Amino acid sequence: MIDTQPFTLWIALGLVLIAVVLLYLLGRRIAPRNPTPAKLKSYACGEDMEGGQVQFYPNTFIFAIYFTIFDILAFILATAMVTLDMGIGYTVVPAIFAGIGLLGVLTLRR
Amino acid sequence: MTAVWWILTILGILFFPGIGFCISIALFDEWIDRKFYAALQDRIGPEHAGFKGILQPLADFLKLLANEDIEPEAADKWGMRFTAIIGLAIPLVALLFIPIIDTTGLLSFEGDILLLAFLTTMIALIIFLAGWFSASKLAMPGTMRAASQLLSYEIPILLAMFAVALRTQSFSLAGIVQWQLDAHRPTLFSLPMVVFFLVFLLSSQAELERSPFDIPTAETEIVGGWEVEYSGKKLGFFRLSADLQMVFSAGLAVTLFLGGPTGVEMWIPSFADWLASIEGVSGLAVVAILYYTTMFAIKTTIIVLILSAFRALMARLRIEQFLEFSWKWVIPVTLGVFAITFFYVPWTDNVVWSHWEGLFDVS
Repeated sequence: MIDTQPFTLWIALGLVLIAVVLLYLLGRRIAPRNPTPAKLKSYACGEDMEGGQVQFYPNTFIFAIYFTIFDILAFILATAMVTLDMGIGYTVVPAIFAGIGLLGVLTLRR
Repeated sequence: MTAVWWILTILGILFFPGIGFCISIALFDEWIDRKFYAALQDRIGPEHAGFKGILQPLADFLKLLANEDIEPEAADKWGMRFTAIIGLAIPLVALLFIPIIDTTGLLSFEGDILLLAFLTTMIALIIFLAGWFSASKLAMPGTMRAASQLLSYEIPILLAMFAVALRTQSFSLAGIVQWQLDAHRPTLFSLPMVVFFLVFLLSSQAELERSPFDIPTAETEIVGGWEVEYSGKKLGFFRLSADLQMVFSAGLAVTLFLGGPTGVEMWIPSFADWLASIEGVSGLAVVAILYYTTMFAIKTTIIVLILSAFRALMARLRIEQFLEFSWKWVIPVTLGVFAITFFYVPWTDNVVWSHWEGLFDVS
């Protein structure tokens, strides 16, 4: 199957999802179910701690921003080849983009 | 689209080389990983289920499937169910794109490497959501560590994938394998690509959250990290998903750098022609399929053994050491080699490689 048609992708996605959901329902069927209040508490190493949503750690947010910037850079690098025809531009443009990115990272290091 | 085509496609997706085969090879590779890891630590490893414990990963999965599944009251229950199901489905879909029984994957189109880049990022986001939905004070540090680490090591993986795509001038895995066949050498056989290969393996280890990068799930410190609230079938799904991700990473490394499911025919063109000629013949096509599958399994297992040795040799470090390592060393080195490579490729392609390529050309 060299050229996959778009609908084949949807069929594959649908079949995979159906298979996984069936496996999930199988687990639901064969597993025992007798919840008690003690079981339903959030895990806390035996301490009495309330469950519930915790604040988002801001450090992760910084990494998410870095990730967004460099993810976009990586896709620009990848698509730099597509927009230009062959020739010298095919290699030099990605190299220049990579160089700009490198400068960015080296600035971050300080 | 004939009826036969439909039946073959659906059977291919469901059994071979689709879901059934991928899950089997994932469980097999987990067994290899555990056995080798145990041997390096002077232990025996799984022993009782089947030959030398080969069925142990399957037994573990079935046991988790039949275990009671506890959803804490504070947690977002539908969120937990959703992440468990999607977390297993994403690596399965991604594996359908890896060439296993042929030089093209079961699903293949021009640009599928971009879709795979998207899917690997999705896995990181699903892991973050899995920890977030479980709403536990013990899961949260693990979740945040997992999110920072996975996002930091995603960039080198993307750069390594795109470097190969640019080098082979193809955005489909089938095209990359074909380029290697035409060039009579794997992509790995050039100096910059060795750097990208090492970066890819290192970052895969980080993406798989295996030692020394296992601080998000550090079981002795934060009792399992983001997966602490998961039990029963959901934990089983995440474990199986981790195995599938390992096979996917190894398979992608094999496809991008080691010639995919091809073997010696890379250097023996007459054998390659014979393999291509028997693909349409009903009886002999099985031979080609078996040959490609065996080659893929051997190469994938070698990569899994490398990752497993890496896991056994290194001790766990702290989270900020890894983040620093990624942003201060891995990403700058990858970007630098990327920049150098694409200044260097035109000359090597025309002058240096044409000389060396003659040496590998047997015909």
